Amino acid sequence: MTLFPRKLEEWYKTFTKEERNWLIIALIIALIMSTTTLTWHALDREHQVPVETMEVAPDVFMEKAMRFSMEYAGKVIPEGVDIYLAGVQFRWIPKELKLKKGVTYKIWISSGDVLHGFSLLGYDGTVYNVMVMPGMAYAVNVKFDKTGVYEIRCNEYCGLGHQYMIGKIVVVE
Amino acid sequence: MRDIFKGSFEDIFSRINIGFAIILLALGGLFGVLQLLSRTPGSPIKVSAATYYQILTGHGVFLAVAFTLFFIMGLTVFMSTRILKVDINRLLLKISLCMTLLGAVLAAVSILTGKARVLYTFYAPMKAHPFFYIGAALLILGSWFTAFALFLQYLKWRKQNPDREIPVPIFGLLATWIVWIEATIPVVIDVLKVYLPMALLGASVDVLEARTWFWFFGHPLVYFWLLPAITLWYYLIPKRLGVELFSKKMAKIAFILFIIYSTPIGLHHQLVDPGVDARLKYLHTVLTLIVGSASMLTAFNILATLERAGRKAGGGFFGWIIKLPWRDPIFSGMILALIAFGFGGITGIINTSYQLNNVVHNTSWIVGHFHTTVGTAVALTFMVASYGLLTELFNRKVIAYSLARIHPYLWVIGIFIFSMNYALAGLAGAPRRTYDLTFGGMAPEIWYTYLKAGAVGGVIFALAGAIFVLIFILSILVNKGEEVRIFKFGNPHENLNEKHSVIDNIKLWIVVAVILIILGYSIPLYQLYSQGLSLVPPVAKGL
Repeated sequence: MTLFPRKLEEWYKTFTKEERNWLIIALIIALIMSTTTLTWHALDREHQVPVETMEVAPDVFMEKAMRFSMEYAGKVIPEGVDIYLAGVQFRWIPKELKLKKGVTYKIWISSGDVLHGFSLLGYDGTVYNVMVMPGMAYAVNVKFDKTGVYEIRCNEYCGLGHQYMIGKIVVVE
Repeated sequence: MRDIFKGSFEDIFSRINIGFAIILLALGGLFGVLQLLSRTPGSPIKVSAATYYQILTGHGVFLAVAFTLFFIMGLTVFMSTRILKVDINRLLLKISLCMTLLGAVLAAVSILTGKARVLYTFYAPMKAHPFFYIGAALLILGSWFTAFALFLQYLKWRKQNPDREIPVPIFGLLATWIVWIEATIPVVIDVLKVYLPMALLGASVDVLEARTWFWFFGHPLVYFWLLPAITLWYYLIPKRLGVELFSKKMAKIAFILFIIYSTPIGLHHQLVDPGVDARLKYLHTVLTLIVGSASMLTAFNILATLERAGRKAGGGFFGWIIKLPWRDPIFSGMILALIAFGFGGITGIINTSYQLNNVVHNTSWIVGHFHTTVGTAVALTFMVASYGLLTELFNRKVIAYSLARIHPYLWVIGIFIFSMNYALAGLAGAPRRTYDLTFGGMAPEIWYTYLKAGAVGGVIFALAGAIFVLIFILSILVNKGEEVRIFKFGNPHENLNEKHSVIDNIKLWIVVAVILIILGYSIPLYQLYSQGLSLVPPVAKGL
C-alpha cells in the first residue's frame, strides 16, 4: 500500500485488493511452514522429536536406573544396550554415561518423583531438550559424532535444589 | 483519595480493579528485579534459593495471571458501559469482584508465606498448600461473572439495536471474554479433578493428564491477555491520530480468527512431552501457524491507519512516519508495543515449530520471548492506556508528563536488550527457572556475557516500570484534576452501519470455535484416557 499511494477517499473502502492479498500471503506463509515441517520430518533422520514412550511407575523406573547405574559404573556402554536415565530430586541416575563415538544408543528417560527437564548441552553448540515425566518414559535416540564431554542439566523447576542436577555424557573413541 | 470511591458503581468497580492491578504490577515487578539481579553472575544482590523460587512464583502469578486479569476486568466495564450506553448487571459485578479479590488474597498468602513454591504453572505432582489451588479456582470462577455481565449487557444492546453492526472495541472485548471462557473451562476441570484431590486428600495424579488440561488453558490464556491490548490499539490509536481505523472489517476478522483458533493449539507447549501422539503435535503446530496470520492482519491494519494519518498531516513517501505524534506516550507506547509484538510473534512461531522446539524448550529463550509478548505488547499497552484512564476514569491530571513521555521508550529499550540477550543465552543452552545459572561456575563462558548484558536491559525496563508506578500512584494521591476525555467516547452509533453482516454473527463463530476445539482436543483426550492413567504420588518435599 505504501508503494501505490491512493486518493484519500479510497482508504475508506473496506477490503481493498492489498488487504486481500496480504491475508493470502499470510496464509501461504503458514502453509509453507507447515509443509516444511513435514518435509523436514521425512528427510532429516537425525534431529528428531522422539516418538517412542513407555508407561512405567516411578519406583520401577528408579530401580531400573539404579541397577543400570551399578552395572555400567565407569564402563563404556556397549552397542545395543538400552540406557536408563532417571531424574530425581536433585540428581541424575546414573550421574555419568560413557558412550562410544558413532554408535546410536537408545536412552530411556523418566523421573522418580516430580517433573524434570533433560537438557543435553555440548560445548560445540549442541542443545537438545525433552521433558522428563514421572509415570512415563521417553526414548531418545542419540549418536555422537565427536568425542568429548557433554553436560546434562535439569531445565524444569523441580524443587529448591534444581540447580544441582548436573549429569555428564562422556563420548570416547 | 476518598473520591475514587464515589461515582457510579461501574466506575468504582473499574477503579478498584485497575488500582489493584497496578499494585500487583509493582509487587510482581519488584520480585522480577530481585530474581534478575540474584541470578546475574557477579551481582552483589543475592537471595536464597528458597526466596528465589518463591518470588519467581510470585512474579509469574502476580503479573501474568493477576495483573492482567484485574486490569482487563476494569477496562472491560469502563469501555463497555461508555460505548454501549446500556446498563450492566451490578449484582454480577459485585459477585465477581468479591470472588476474584478473595481468590487473589488466598493465592497471594500461600505464595508470600512460602507454602506454594510451585511456579505459576504449578505442574503436578508438586503439591502446594490447598489455598493456592482454591485461590486460583475462585479467581477464575469469579472472573466468569464479569464475562456474564458483559454478555448480558451486549445482548441488551442488541435487543435495542437489532440490525446495527457491533463497534470494533466491543467486538474485541467480546472476543476477549469468549476466549477466556474457552480457556478457563479446562483449567477448572484440571483444578477440580486433579489438583484439589491431590492437595486436600493426597490423591495420586497422572502428570500428562494434568499437563494436557493445563496447556488446553495455557495457550488461549495468552490470547486473553493479548486481545484487550489489540482492542486498545484498534480503538485508541485512531482516536489519538484523529482518523478512522483503516479497516473495521479486517479488525473483526482478526478477532474472529482468535476466537476460532486460539484454543485447539495448546499441544505446541507439549511438543517434547512423552505420551502425546506425534501427529497431534503436528496438527497443533499447523493450527498455531494459522493463528499467526491474525496478527499479520492486525499489523497491516494498524500500520495502514498510521500511514493514513501521516499522509493526511502532509507526509510523503516516508515522511508520513515523522508526522506521527511520537511525543504522545499513549500513541508511542502502543506503537512500540506493536513492534515488540512483532518480535514476540516471530520467536513464538519458532517455539511452535515441531522440530525447533526441542532446541529452545525451557531455555531462557522462552524468557526472552514472553517478555516481548505479555511483558511488552500487553503490559506496555496497559500501562500507557492507564495514562488515559487516570484522566478519564480517576479524574486525575497525570503528574510529571515529561517523564511519562520517556517511559515507553525506556521500557522498550530495556526489553530489547534484556530479551535479545536472554534469547541468545537460551540458544547457547541456558535453562530458564534456575536459581544458579552458573551451576557453581560450570557454565559456558558465553552465558556470563549474555546474562550480564541482559541484566542491564532488565534494570532499564524496571526503571521505566518504577517511573510508571510512581506517576500513577502520585497522580492519584496528589494531583486532582479535571476529567479529560482521552478515550473520546462519542455518540455510540456514529459511523456504524445500519445493517450487520455475517461477520457480526458472534454466535456462529462460537459454534465454529467449539467444533474446532472438539476436533483439536477430542483425540488427545481420548488417547490420554484410553491408554490408561499412569498415577504417581504427589511430592511436597524439596519445594
